[in-house]
Amino acid sequence: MKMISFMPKFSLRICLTISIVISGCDSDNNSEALAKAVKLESQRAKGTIIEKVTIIGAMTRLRVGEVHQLTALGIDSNDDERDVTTELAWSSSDTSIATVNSKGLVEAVANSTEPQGKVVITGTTINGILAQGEMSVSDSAISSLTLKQSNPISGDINTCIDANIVADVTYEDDYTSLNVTKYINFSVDENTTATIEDGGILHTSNSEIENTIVSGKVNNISNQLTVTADPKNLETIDVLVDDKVVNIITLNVGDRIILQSQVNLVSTISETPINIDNNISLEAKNSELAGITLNGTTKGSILALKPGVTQVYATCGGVQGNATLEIKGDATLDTLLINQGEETITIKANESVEISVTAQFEETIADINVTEFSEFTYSKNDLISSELVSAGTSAANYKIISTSNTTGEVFLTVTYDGESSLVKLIIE
Amino acid sequence: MKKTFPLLYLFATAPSFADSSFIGVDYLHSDIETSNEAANIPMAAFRLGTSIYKQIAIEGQYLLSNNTDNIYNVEFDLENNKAIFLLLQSYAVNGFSLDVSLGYASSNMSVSGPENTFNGSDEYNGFAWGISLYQEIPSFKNARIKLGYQSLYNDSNLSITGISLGFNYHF
Repeated sequence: MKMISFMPKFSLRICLTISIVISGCDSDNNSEALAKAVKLESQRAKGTIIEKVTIIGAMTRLRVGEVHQLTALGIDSNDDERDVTTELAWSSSDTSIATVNSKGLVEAVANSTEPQGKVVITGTTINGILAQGEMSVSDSAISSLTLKQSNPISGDINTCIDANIVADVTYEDDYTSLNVTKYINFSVDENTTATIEDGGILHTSNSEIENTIVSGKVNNISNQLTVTADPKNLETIDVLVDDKVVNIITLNVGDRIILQSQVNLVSTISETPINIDNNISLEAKNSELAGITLNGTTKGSILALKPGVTQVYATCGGVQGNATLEIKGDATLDTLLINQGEETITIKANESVEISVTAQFEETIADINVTEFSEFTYSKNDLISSELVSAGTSAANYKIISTSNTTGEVFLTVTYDGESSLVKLIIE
Repeated sequence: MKKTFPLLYLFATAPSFADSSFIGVDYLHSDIETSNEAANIPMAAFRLGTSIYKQIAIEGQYLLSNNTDNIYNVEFDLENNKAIFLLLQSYAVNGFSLDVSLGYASSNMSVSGPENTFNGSDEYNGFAWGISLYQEIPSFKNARIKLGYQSLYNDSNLSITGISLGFNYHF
Protein backbone atom coordinates (compact mmCIF):
# COMPACT_ATOMS: atom_id res chain seq x y z
CA MET A 1 0.00 0.00 0.00
CA LYS A 2 2.83 2.34 0.86
CA MET A 3 4.32 1.70 -2.55
CA ILE A 4 1.08 2.57 -4.30
CA SER A 5 0.63 5.87 -2.48
CA PHE A 6 4.24 6.74 -3.13
CA MET A 7 4.16 6.14 -6.88
CA PRO A 8 2.14 9.20 -8.10
CA LYS A 9 4.40 11.62 -6.25
CA PHE A 10 7.45 9.75 -7.44
CA SER A 11 6.28 9.84 -11.07
CA LEU A 12 5.51 13.50 -10.85
CA ARG A 13 8.96 14.20 -9.52
CA ILE A 14 10.49 12.15 -12.32
CA CYS A 15 8.47 14.06 -14.91
CA LEU A 16 9.46 17.41 -13.50
CA THR A 17 13.10 16.47 -13.11
CA ILE A 18 13.36 15.11 -16.63
CA SER A 19 11.59 18.16 -18.06
CA ILE A 20 13.88 20.58 -16.24
CA VAL A 21 17.04 18.69 -17.13
CA ILE A 22 16.28 18.20 -20.80
CA SER A 23 15.00 21.74 -21.28
CA GLY A 24 18.49 22.89 -20.29
CA CYS A 25 20.24 20.57 -22.71
CA ASP A 26 20.05 22.62 -25.89
CA SER A 27 22.99 22.05 -28.18
CA ASP A 28 25.48 24.48 -29.54
CA ASN A 29 24.81 24.66 -33.25
CA ASN A 30 24.83 27.05 -36.16
CA SER A 31 21.17 27.98 -36.27
CA GLU A 32 22.04 31.69 -36.30
CA ALA A 33 24.39 31.27 -39.27
CA LEU A 34 21.79 29.10 -40.97
CA ALA A 35 19.09 31.71 -40.49
CA LYS A 36 21.40 34.34 -41.88
CA ALA A 37 22.19 32.20 -44.93
CA VAL A 38 18.50 31.61 -45.61
CA LYS A 39 17.72 35.30 -45.24
CA LEU A 40 20.53 36.11 -47.62
CA GLU A 41 19.26 33.62 -50.21
CA SER A 42 15.74 34.95 -49.75
CA GLN A 43 16.94 38.47 -50.48
CA ARG A 44 18.95 37.26 -53.46
CA ALA A 45 15.94 35.49 -54.89
CA LYS A 46 13.67 38.48 -54.40
CA GLY A 47 16.24 40.97 -55.61
CA THR A 48 16.16 42.74 -52.29
CA ILE A 49 19.74 42.07 -51.33
CA ILE A 50 21.44 45.28 -50.34
CA GLU A 51 24.26 46.46 -52.54
CA LYS A 52 24.95 49.85 -51.03
CA VAL A 53 24.39 51.30 -47.58
CA THR A 54 24.52 54.85 -46.30
CA ILE A 55 24.39 55.78 -42.64
CA ILE A 56 22.32 58.85 -41.87
CA GLY A 57 22.89 60.95 -38.78
CA ALA A 58 26.60 60.40 -38.27
CA MET A 59 29.19 63.16 -37.69
CA THR A 60 27.40 64.07 -34.51
CA ARG A 61 28.81 65.03 -31.15
CA LEU A 62 27.21 63.69 -28.01
CA ARG A 63 27.63 64.35 -24.35
CA VAL A 64 27.93 61.50 -21.87
CA GLY A 65 24.59 59.86 -21.29
CA GLU A 66 23.03 61.15 -24.49
CA VAL A 67 21.69 58.81 -27.14
CA HIS A 68 21.49 59.36 -30.88
CA GLN A 69 19.59 57.33 -33.42
CA LEU A 70 21.47 56.44 -36.57
CA THR A 71 19.52 55.24 -39.55
CA ALA A 72 20.74 53.34 -42.56
CA LEU A 73 19.41 53.52 -46.08
CA GLY A 74 20.21 50.69 -48.43
CA ILE A 75 19.86 50.31 -52.17
CA ASP A 76 19.01 46.77 -53.24
CA SER A 77 19.65 44.89 -56.46
CA ASN A 78 16.30 46.10 -57.81
CA ASP A 79 17.63 49.63 -57.31
CA ASP A 80 14.99 50.25 -54.68
CA GLU A 81 15.85 52.17 -51.55
CA ARG A 82 14.76 50.99 -48.13
CA ASP A 83 15.45 51.63 -44.49
CA VAL A 84 17.83 48.87 -43.39
CA THR A 85 18.54 50.21 -39.91
CA THR A 86 17.26 47.10 -38.18
CA GLU A 87 18.77 44.75 -40.76
CA LEU A 88 22.36 45.74 -40.03
CA ALA A 89 24.79 44.31 -37.54
CA TRP A 90 25.99 47.41 -35.71
CA SER A 91 29.32 47.79 -33.95
CA SER A 92 31.39 50.49 -32.31
CA SER A 93 35.14 50.91 -32.73
CA ASP A 94 35.49 51.85 -29.07
CA THR A 95 32.74 50.76 -26.73
CA SER A 96 34.41 52.57 -23.85
CA ILE A 97 33.43 55.83 -25.58
CA ALA A 98 30.14 54.94 -27.27
CA THR A 99 28.06 51.84 -27.72
CA VAL A 100 25.52 51.06 -30.40
CA ASN A 101 22.64 48.62 -30.11
CA SER A 102 21.13 46.36 -32.74
CA LYS A 103 18.77 49.14 -33.86
CA GLY A 104 21.48 51.73 -34.49
CA LEU A 105 20.94 53.67 -31.26
CA VAL A 106 24.26 55.15 -30.15
CA GLU A 107 24.83 55.86 -26.48
CA ALA A 108 27.65 58.10 -25.30
CA VAL A 109 29.45 56.29 -22.50
CA ALA A 110 32.49 58.43 -21.68
CA ASN A 111 34.11 61.69 -22.74
CA SER A 112 37.29 61.40 -24.68
CA THR A 113 39.72 64.01 -25.89
CA GLU A 114 41.87 61.81 -28.07
CA PRO A 115 41.21 62.16 -30.91
CA GLN A 116 38.32 64.60 -30.41
CA GLY A 117 36.29 61.84 -28.79
CA LYS A 118 35.80 60.16 -32.14
CA VAL A 119 34.43 56.68 -32.48
CA VAL A 120 33.51 54.85 -35.68
CA ILE A 121 30.13 53.14 -35.86
CA THR A 122 29.89 50.38 -38.44
CA GLY A 123 26.75 48.85 -39.85
CA THR A 124 27.14 45.63 -41.81
CA THR A 125 24.51 43.96 -43.97
CA ILE A 126 23.85 40.26 -44.00
CA ASN A 127 25.89 39.98 -47.20
CA GLY A 128 28.85 41.84 -45.78
CA ILE A 129 28.24 45.28 -47.27
CA LEU A 130 29.21 47.84 -44.68
CA ALA A 131 28.94 51.52 -44.04
CA GLN A 132 30.64 53.57 -41.40
CA GLY A 133 29.74 56.74 -39.59
CA GLU A 134 31.74 58.84 -37.19
CA MET A 135 30.43 59.94 -33.83
CA SER A 136 32.13 61.91 -31.10
CA VAL A 137 31.74 62.09 -27.34
CA SER A 138 33.12 65.10 -25.54
CA ASP A 139 32.04 67.89 -23.22
CA SER A 140 33.97 70.53 -25.17
CA ALA A 141 32.07 73.82 -25.46
CA ILE A 142 30.58 75.21 -28.67
CA SER A 143 32.69 77.81 -30.39
CA SER A 144 30.54 78.58 -33.45
CA LEU A 145 27.55 77.46 -35.44
CA THR A 146 26.52 77.81 -39.04
CA LEU A 147 22.90 77.55 -40.07
CA LYS A 148 22.00 75.84 -43.32
CA GLN A 149 19.04 74.42 -45.15
CA SER A 150 18.62 70.69 -44.76
CA ASN A 151 15.53 70.05 -46.82
CA PRO A 152 15.88 71.34 -49.46
CA ILE A 153 19.63 71.50 -49.18
CA SER A 154 19.98 74.69 -51.19
CA GLY A 155 18.11 77.23 -53.26
CA ASP A 156 14.70 78.72 -52.72
CA ILE A 157 12.22 76.68 -50.75
CA ASN A 158 8.68 76.08 -51.97
CA THR A 159 6.23 78.19 -50.00
CA CYS A 160 3.78 76.09 -47.98
CA ILE A 161 6.08 73.08 -47.84
CA ASP A 162 7.93 72.59 -44.57
CA ALA A 163 11.65 73.28 -44.79
CA ASN A 164 14.24 72.08 -42.33
CA ILE A 165 16.90 74.34 -40.95
CA VAL A 166 19.88 72.77 -39.19
CA ALA A 167 23.26 73.91 -37.95
CA ASP A 168 26.81 72.71 -38.30
CA VAL A 169 28.20 73.23 -34.82
CA THR A 170 31.93 73.61 -34.21
CA TYR A 171 33.35 72.96 -30.76
CA GLU A 172 36.40 74.37 -29.04
CA ASP A 173 38.35 71.23 -29.88
CA ASP A 174 37.67 71.97 -33.59
CA TYR A 175 35.25 69.05 -34.00
CA THR A 176 32.28 69.92 -36.20
CA SER A 177 28.98 68.24 -35.57
CA LEU A 178 26.73 68.23 -38.62
CA ASN A 179 23.01 68.86 -38.99
CA VAL A 180 22.35 69.74 -35.37
CA THR A 181 19.02 71.00 -34.07
CA LYS A 182 19.30 69.96 -30.43
CA TYR A 183 19.97 72.81 -27.98
CA ILE A 184 19.48 75.43 -30.71
CA ASN A 185 16.86 78.13 -30.19
CA PHE A 186 15.47 79.01 -33.60
CA SER A 187 13.62 82.22 -34.37
CA VAL A 188 12.56 84.24 -37.41
CA ASP A 189 12.59 87.98 -38.05
CA GLU A 190 9.60 90.13 -37.20
CA ASN A 191 8.84 91.13 -40.78
CA THR A 192 8.13 87.67 -42.11
CA THR A 193 4.91 85.67 -42.14
CA ALA A 194 6.96 82.52 -41.67
CA THR A 195 7.17 80.69 -38.36
CA ILE A 196 9.71 78.21 -37.08
CA GLU A 197 9.28 75.53 -34.48
CA ASP A 198 11.66 73.58 -32.25
CA GLY A 199 13.78 71.35 -34.39
CA GLY A 200 14.18 74.00 -37.07
CA ILE A 201 11.02 73.25 -39.07
CA LEU A 202 10.16 76.39 -41.04
CA HIS A 203 6.54 77.05 -42.02
CA THR A 204 5.77 79.48 -44.83
CA SER A 205 2.53 80.57 -46.45
CA ASN A 206 2.98 83.98 -48.06
CA SER A 207 1.50 84.52 -51.52
CA GLU A 208 4.57 86.45 -52.66
CA ILE A 209 8.25 85.59 -52.66
CA GLU A 210 9.40 86.19 -49.12
CA ASN A 211 12.82 86.35 -47.52
CA THR A 212 12.97 85.17 -43.95
CA ILE A 213 15.94 85.66 -41.68
CA VAL A 214 16.27 82.57 -39.52
CA SER A 215 18.34 82.91 -36.36
CA GLY A 216 19.84 80.09 -34.37
CA LYS A 217 21.30 80.61 -30.96
CA VAL A 218 23.05 78.47 -28.35
CA ASN A 219 24.01 80.38 -25.22
CA ASN A 220 25.66 83.52 -26.59
CA ILE A 221 26.67 82.00 -29.91
CA SER A 222 24.39 82.62 -32.84
CA ASN A 223 24.16 82.62 -36.58
CA GLN A 224 21.66 83.75 -39.19
CA LEU A 225 20.47 82.39 -42.49
CA THR A 226 18.24 84.02 -45.07
CA VAL A 227 15.73 81.64 -46.56
CA THR A 228 13.71 82.56 -49.64
CA ALA A 229 10.27 81.01 -49.96
CA ASP A 230 8.82 81.10 -53.46
CA PRO A 231 5.23 80.08 -54.27
CA LYS A 232 5.83 79.84 -58.04
CA ASN A 233 5.75 76.03 -58.09
CA LEU A 234 2.41 75.71 -56.30
CA GLU A 235 -0.29 74.64 -58.72
CA THR A 236 -3.39 73.46 -56.87
CA ILE A 237 -4.49 72.66 -53.33
CA ASP A 238 -6.74 69.74 -52.39
CA VAL A 239 -8.92 69.38 -49.34
CA LEU A 240 -8.81 65.92 -47.79
CA VAL A 241 -10.79 63.97 -45.24
CA ASP A 242 -9.34 60.70 -43.96
CA ASP A 243 -6.49 61.05 -46.45
CA LYS A 244 -8.89 61.18 -49.42
CA VAL A 245 -9.39 64.19 -51.66
CA VAL A 246 -12.95 65.47 -51.30
CA ASN A 247 -15.05 68.00 -53.16
CA ILE A 248 -18.18 67.59 -51.04
CA ILE A 249 -18.25 66.99 -47.30
CA THR A 250 -21.54 65.96 -45.73
CA LEU A 251 -21.95 66.20 -41.97
CA ASN A 252 -24.71 66.17 -39.41
CA VAL A 253 -24.99 68.94 -36.84
CA GLY A 254 -22.57 68.13 -34.02
CA ASP A 255 -20.18 66.07 -36.17
CA ARG A 256 -16.51 66.84 -35.88
CA ILE A 257 -13.90 65.81 -38.45
CA ILE A 258 -10.35 66.77 -39.31
CA LEU A 259 -9.69 68.52 -42.59
CA GLN A 260 -6.33 67.93 -44.26
CA SER A 261 -4.75 69.58 -47.24
CA GLN A 262 -2.16 68.86 -49.85
CA VAL A 263 -0.49 70.87 -52.54
CA ASN A 264 0.22 69.76 -56.09
CA LEU A 265 3.39 71.23 -57.51
CA VAL A 266 4.06 71.84 -61.16
CA SER A 267 4.86 68.50 -62.73
CA THR A 268 8.45 69.42 -63.51
CA ILE A 269 9.14 69.71 -59.78
CA SER A 270 7.10 66.85 -58.36
CA GLU A 271 4.18 64.68 -59.39
CA THR A 272 3.50 63.63 -55.83
CA PRO A 273 1.12 65.78 -53.74
CA ILE A 274 2.67 67.07 -50.53
CA ASN A 275 0.87 67.44 -47.22
CA ILE A 276 0.70 71.06 -46.07
CA ASP A 277 -1.44 70.74 -42.94
CA ASN A 278 1.07 72.78 -40.93
CA ASN A 279 0.93 75.75 -43.28
CA ILE A 280 -2.59 75.85 -44.62
CA SER A 281 -5.12 78.51 -43.71
CA LEU A 282 -8.65 77.14 -43.46
CA GLU A 283 -11.83 79.14 -43.53
CA ALA A 284 -15.55 78.43 -43.78
CA LYS A 285 -17.35 80.94 -45.96
CA ASN A 286 -20.20 80.95 -43.48
CA SER A 287 -18.55 80.54 -40.09
CA GLU A 288 -21.95 80.26 -38.37
CA LEU A 289 -22.44 76.87 -40.00
CA ALA A 290 -19.07 75.36 -39.18
CA GLY A 291 -16.38 76.17 -36.67
CA ILE A 292 -12.80 75.44 -37.68
CA THR A 293 -9.84 75.15 -35.31
CA LEU A 294 -7.14 77.26 -36.89
CA ASN A 295 -4.07 76.50 -34.77
CA GLY A 296 -2.50 73.91 -32.54
CA THR A 297 -2.24 70.17 -32.75
CA THR A 298 -5.90 69.87 -33.76
CA LYS A 299 -5.62 72.46 -36.52
CA GLY A 300 -8.18 71.66 -39.21
CA SER A 301 -10.74 70.22 -36.81
CA ILE A 302 -14.16 71.28 -38.10
CA LEU A 303 -17.35 71.18 -36.05
CA ALA A 304 -20.74 71.24 -37.79
CA LEU A 305 -22.76 73.89 -35.91
CA LYS A 306 -25.85 74.54 -38.01
CA PRO A 307 -27.57 73.02 -41.02
CA GLY A 308 -26.85 74.54 -44.41
CA VAL A 309 -24.39 74.56 -47.28
CA THR A 310 -21.19 76.55 -47.39
CA GLN A 311 -17.72 76.45 -48.84
CA VAL A 312 -14.55 75.56 -47.00
CA TYR A 313 -11.45 77.29 -48.34
CA ALA A 314 -7.91 76.02 -47.93
CA THR A 315 -5.41 78.72 -48.80
CA CYS A 316 -1.63 78.84 -48.86
CA GLY A 317 0.93 80.69 -50.94
CA GLY A 318 -1.80 82.50 -52.87
CA VAL A 319 -3.32 79.23 -54.06
CA GLN A 320 -6.76 78.20 -52.89
CA GLY A 321 -8.53 74.87 -52.79
CA ASN A 322 -12.09 74.38 -51.69
CA ALA A 323 -14.75 71.87 -50.84
CA THR A 324 -18.48 72.18 -50.44
CA LEU A 325 -19.66 71.55 -46.90
CA GLU A 326 -23.22 70.31 -46.51
CA ILE A 327 -24.55 70.11 -42.95
CA LYS A 328 -27.76 68.26 -42.22
CA GLY A 329 -30.02 68.33 -39.18
CA ASP A 330 -31.75 70.94 -37.09
CA ALA A 331 -30.04 73.14 -34.55
CA THR A 332 -32.50 75.59 -33.08
CA LEU A 333 -30.74 76.78 -29.95
CA ASP A 334 -32.66 76.28 -26.74
CA THR A 335 -30.23 76.96 -23.90
CA LEU A 336 -26.64 78.04 -23.54
CA LEU A 337 -25.08 76.48 -20.46
CA ILE A 338 -21.89 77.58 -18.76
CA ASN A 339 -20.33 74.67 -16.90
CA GLN A 340 -23.58 72.74 -17.22
CA GLY A 341 -25.70 75.54 -15.76
CA GLU A 342 -23.60 77.00 -12.97
CA GLU A 343 -24.48 80.61 -12.11
CA THR A 344 -21.57 81.27 -9.78
CA ILE A 345 -18.05 79.97 -10.12
CA THR A 346 -15.44 80.44 -7.42
CA ILE A 347 -11.74 80.81 -8.17
CA LYS A 348 -9.09 80.95 -5.50
CA ALA A 349 -6.67 83.85 -5.93
CA ASN A 350 -3.76 82.92 -8.18
CA GLU A 351 -5.46 79.72 -9.20
CA SER A 352 -7.54 78.76 -12.21
CA VAL A 353 -10.81 77.17 -13.19
CA GLU A 354 -12.05 75.57 -16.40
CA ILE A 355 -15.13 76.93 -18.11
CA SER A 356 -16.94 75.27 -20.97
CA VAL A 357 -20.01 76.33 -22.89
CA THR A 358 -22.60 73.83 -24.03
CA ALA A 359 -25.38 74.47 -26.51
CA GLN A 360 -28.64 72.60 -25.95
CA PHE A 361 -31.09 72.40 -28.82
CA GLU A 362 -34.84 72.19 -29.08
CA GLU A 363 -34.55 68.98 -31.05
CA THR A 364 -33.19 65.79 -29.61
CA ILE A 365 -29.69 66.09 -31.02
CA ALA A 366 -26.93 65.82 -28.47
CA ASP A 367 -25.54 68.88 -26.73
CA ILE A 368 -22.56 70.49 -28.45
CA ASN A 369 -19.53 72.00 -26.77
CA VAL A 370 -19.35 75.42 -28.45
CA THR A 371 -16.77 76.98 -26.14
CA GLU A 372 -14.31 77.53 -28.95
CA PHE A 373 -16.84 79.37 -31.10
CA SER A 374 -18.48 81.50 -28.40
CA GLU A 375 -17.67 85.09 -27.52
CA PHE A 376 -16.41 85.63 -23.96
CA THR A 377 -16.83 89.11 -22.42
CA TYR A 378 -15.57 89.95 -18.93
CA SER A 379 -16.82 92.86 -16.82
CA LYS A 380 -13.23 93.36 -15.59
CA ASN A 381 -10.04 92.26 -17.26
CA ASP A 382 -7.53 93.23 -14.59
CA LEU A 383 -8.23 90.29 -12.26
CA ILE A 384 -8.17 87.38 -14.67
CA SER A 385 -6.75 86.09 -17.90
CA SER A 386 -8.05 83.27 -20.06
CA GLU A 387 -6.56 80.64 -22.28
CA LEU A 388 -8.31 78.24 -24.65
CA VAL A 389 -7.31 74.64 -24.04
CA SER A 390 -8.18 71.37 -25.79
CA ALA A 391 -9.29 73.37 -28.83
CA GLY A 392 -10.64 71.30 -31.67
CA THR A 393 -12.01 68.65 -29.35
CA SER A 394 -15.27 68.05 -27.53
CA ALA A 395 -13.40 68.84 -24.30
CA ALA A 396 -12.54 72.41 -25.35
CA ASN A 397 -12.63 74.87 -22.46
CA TYR A 398 -11.27 78.19 -21.33
CA LYS A 399 -8.84 78.12 -18.46
CA ILE A 400 -9.71 81.21 -16.42
CA ILE A 401 -6.71 82.25 -14.35
CA SER A 402 -6.72 84.62 -11.39
CA THR A 403 -3.69 86.81 -12.11
CA SER A 404 -3.10 88.32 -8.66
CA ASN A 405 -3.86 88.05 -4.97
CA THR A 406 -6.67 90.55 -5.38
CA THR A 407 -10.13 89.20 -4.65
CA GLY A 408 -13.30 90.41 -6.26
CA GLU A 409 -16.08 89.54 -8.66
CA VAL A 410 -16.10 89.39 -12.43
CA PHE A 411 -19.16 88.86 -14.58
CA LEU A 412 -18.61 86.67 -17.61
CA THR A 413 -21.03 86.95 -20.51
CA VAL A 414 -20.90 84.20 -23.11
CA THR A 415 -22.60 84.75 -26.46
CA TYR A 416 -23.29 82.13 -29.09
CA ASP A 417 -25.73 82.23 -31.98
CA GLY A 418 -27.52 85.30 -30.61
CA GLU A 419 -28.03 83.75 -27.18
CA SER A 420 -26.19 84.97 -24.10
CA SER A 421 -25.52 83.43 -20.76
CA LEU A 422 -24.08 85.06 -17.66
CA VAL A 423 -22.00 83.67 -14.83
CA LYS A 424 -20.48 85.36 -11.80
CA LEU A 425 -16.81 84.59 -11.11
CA ILE A 426 -15.90 85.08 -7.48
CA ILE A 427 -12.22 85.41 -6.79
CA GLU A 428 -11.54 84.66 -3.14
CA MET B 1 -19.61 22.82 -14.75
CA LYS B 2 -21.21 21.84 -18.00
CA LYS B 3 -18.07 22.81 -19.83
CA THR B 4 -15.73 20.90 -17.53
CA PHE B 5 -17.85 17.78 -17.39
CA PRO B 6 -16.65 16.20 -20.64
CA LEU B 7 -13.04 16.71 -19.58
CA LEU B 8 -13.66 15.11 -16.20
CA TYR B 9 -15.42 12.30 -17.93
CA LEU B 10 -12.45 11.77 -20.22
CA PHE B 11 -10.08 11.35 -17.31
CA ALA B 12 -12.49 9.32 -15.23
CA THR B 13 -13.14 6.59 -17.73
CA ALA B 14 -11.38 3.26 -17.54
CA PRO B 15 -8.01 3.03 -19.30
CA SER B 16 -7.88 0.88 -22.39
CA PHE B 17 -4.14 0.33 -22.86
CA ALA B 18 -2.68 0.93 -19.41
CA ASP B 19 0.17 -1.32 -18.40
CA SER B 20 1.00 -2.22 -21.98
CA SER B 21 3.87 -1.87 -24.39
CA PHE B 22 3.47 -0.63 -27.91
CA ILE B 23 5.11 -0.04 -31.22
CA GLY B 24 4.09 2.62 -33.66
CA VAL B 25 4.73 3.79 -37.18
CA ASP B 26 3.92 7.28 -38.44
CA TYR B 27 4.19 9.48 -41.46
CA LEU B 28 5.53 12.82 -40.27
CA HIS B 29 5.30 16.03 -42.27
CA SER B 30 8.18 18.03 -40.86
CA ASP B 31 8.34 21.80 -40.90
CA ILE B 32 11.76 23.43 -40.62
CA GLU B 33 11.33 27.17 -40.15
CA THR B 34 14.06 29.77 -40.23
CA SER B 35 14.09 33.45 -41.23
CA ASN B 36 10.36 33.34 -41.93
CA GLU B 37 10.89 30.64 -44.56
CA ALA B 38 10.05 26.96 -44.31
CA ALA B 39 11.29 23.64 -45.67
CA ASN B 40 9.04 20.60 -45.44
CA ILE B 41 10.46 17.12 -45.49
CA PRO B 42 8.33 13.96 -45.30
CA MET B 43 9.69 11.49 -42.77
CA ALA B 44 8.93 8.10 -41.34
CA ALA B 45 8.70 7.62 -37.59
CA PHE B 46 9.25 4.40 -35.69
CA ARG B 47 8.25 4.35 -32.09
CA LEU B 48 8.61 1.95 -29.24
CA GLY B 49 7.15 2.48 -25.79
CA THR B 50 6.05 0.96 -22.56
CA SER B 51 3.90 1.98 -19.67
CA ILE B 52 5.87 2.71 -16.51
CA TYR B 53 3.04 3.61 -14.17
CA LYS B 54 -0.70 3.83 -14.77
CA GLN B 55 -1.17 6.58 -17.39
CA ILE B 56 2.52 7.37 -17.74
CA ALA B 57 4.63 5.75 -20.42
CA ILE B 58 8.06 6.16 -21.85
CA GLU B 59 8.54 6.25 -25.61
CA GLY B 60 11.54 6.20 -27.90
CA GLN B 61 11.18 7.61 -31.41
CA TYR B 62 13.38 7.41 -34.46
CA LEU B 63 12.65 9.55 -37.51
CA LEU B 64 14.38 9.21 -40.81
CA SER B 65 14.04 10.45 -44.34
CA ASN B 66 15.65 10.20 -47.72
CA ASN B 67 14.03 13.37 -48.95
CA THR B 68 15.23 16.94 -49.01
CA ASP B 69 13.60 20.29 -49.48
CA ASN B 70 14.93 23.67 -50.56
CA ILE B 71 14.49 27.20 -49.34
CA TYR B 72 15.65 29.12 -52.40
CA ASN B 73 19.16 27.78 -53.03
CA VAL B 74 19.60 26.23 -49.62
CA GLU B 75 18.92 22.49 -49.48
CA PHE B 76 17.74 20.99 -46.20
CA ASP B 77 18.22 17.32 -45.41
CA LEU B 78 16.79 16.34 -42.05
CA GLU B 79 18.58 13.02 -42.04
CA ASN B 80 17.26 11.63 -38.80
CA ASN B 81 15.93 12.46 -35.41
CA LYS B 82 16.16 10.52 -32.20
CA ALA B 83 13.86 11.36 -29.34
CA ILE B 84 12.79 10.03 -25.99
CA PHE B 85 9.51 11.12 -24.44
CA LEU B 86 7.63 10.75 -21.23
CA LEU B 87 3.97 10.30 -22.19
CA LEU B 88 1.25 11.59 -19.91
CA GLN B 89 -1.77 9.71 -21.13
CA SER B 90 -5.44 10.32 -20.66
CA TYR B 91 -8.00 7.60 -20.12
CA ALA B 92 -10.02 6.60 -23.16
CA VAL B 93 -13.58 7.69 -23.82
CA ASN B 94 -15.35 5.81 -26.56
CA GLY B 95 -11.98 4.67 -27.78
CA PHE B 96 -10.67 8.22 -27.95
CA SER B 97 -7.72 9.40 -25.88
CA LEU B 98 -4.86 11.87 -25.95
CA ASP B 99 -1.41 12.23 -24.52
CA VAL B 100 1.08 14.96 -23.89
CA SER B 101 4.71 14.06 -24.42
CA LEU B 102 7.71 15.79 -22.85
CA GLY B 103 11.18 14.78 -23.78
CA TYR B 104 14.45 15.32 -25.49
CA ALA B 105 15.21 15.17 -29.19
CA SER B 106 18.34 15.20 -31.29
CA SER B 107 18.00 16.13 -34.96
CA ASN B 108 20.72 15.54 -37.50
CA MET B 109 20.40 18.02 -40.34
CA SER B 110 22.61 18.69 -43.33
CA VAL B 111 22.35 21.98 -45.17
CA SER B 112 23.85 22.72 -48.54
CA GLY B 113 23.89 26.30 -49.73
CA PRO B 114 25.78 28.29 -52.31
CA GLU B 115 29.45 28.86 -51.71
CA ASN B 116 30.22 31.33 -48.92
CA THR B 117 26.78 30.99 -47.39
CA PHE B 118 26.14 27.90 -45.27
CA ASN B 119 27.17 24.32 -45.74
CA GLY B 120 27.44 21.54 -43.23
CA SER B 121 25.81 19.12 -40.86
CA ASP B 122 24.70 20.01 -37.37
CA GLU B 123 22.94 18.40 -34.49
CA TYR B 124 20.03 20.31 -33.05
CA ASN B 125 19.42 18.95 -29.60
CA GLY B 126 17.06 20.04 -26.93
CA PHE B 127 13.71 19.95 -25.25
CA ALA B 128 10.93 18.42 -27.28
CA TRP B 129 7.25 18.09 -26.68
CA GLY B 130 4.16 16.93 -28.43
CA ILE B 131 0.49 16.23 -28.20
CA SER B 132 -1.28 13.28 -29.80
CA LEU B 133 -4.84 12.17 -30.29
CA TYR B 134 -5.69 8.45 -30.47
CA GLN B 135 -8.69 6.54 -31.70
CA GLU B 136 -9.09 2.85 -31.16
CA ILE B 137 -9.97 0.73 -34.17
CA PRO B 138 -13.09 -1.35 -33.36
CA SER B 139 -12.20 -4.17 -35.67
CA PHE B 140 -8.57 -4.28 -34.59
CA LYS B 141 -8.64 -4.06 -30.81
CA ASN B 142 -4.92 -3.73 -30.11
CA ALA B 143 -4.39 -0.92 -32.57
CA ARG B 144 -5.00 2.83 -32.36
CA ILE B 145 -4.82 5.50 -35.01
CA LYS B 146 -2.67 8.43 -33.97
CA LEU B 147 -2.68 12.09 -35.06
CA GLY B 148 0.00 14.18 -33.45
CA TYR B 149 1.98 17.37 -33.35
CA GLN B 150 5.61 17.49 -32.22
CA SER B 151 8.05 20.27 -31.53
CA LEU B 152 11.46 18.70 -31.93
CA TYR B 153 13.66 21.77 -31.67
CA ASN B 154 13.15 25.44 -31.09
CA ASP B 155 15.44 28.41 -30.66
CA SER B 156 15.25 32.03 -31.76
CA ASN B 157 16.58 31.20 -35.24
CA LEU B 158 15.24 27.77 -36.05
CA SER B 159 12.33 25.53 -35.24
CA ILE B 160 11.72 21.94 -36.24
CA THR B 161 8.17 20.71 -35.84
CA GLY B 162 6.03 18.06 -37.44
CA ILE B 163 2.51 16.78 -37.85
CA SER B 164 2.27 13.01 -37.78
CA LEU B 165 -0.32 10.45 -38.75
CA GLY B 166 0.16 6.78 -37.92
CA PHE B 167 -0.87 3.97 -35.64
CA ASN B 168 0.15 2.14 -32.49
CA TYR B 169 -0.03 -1.53 -31.81
CA HIS B 170 -0.31 -2.52 -28.16
CA PHE B 171 0.86 -5.80 -26.71
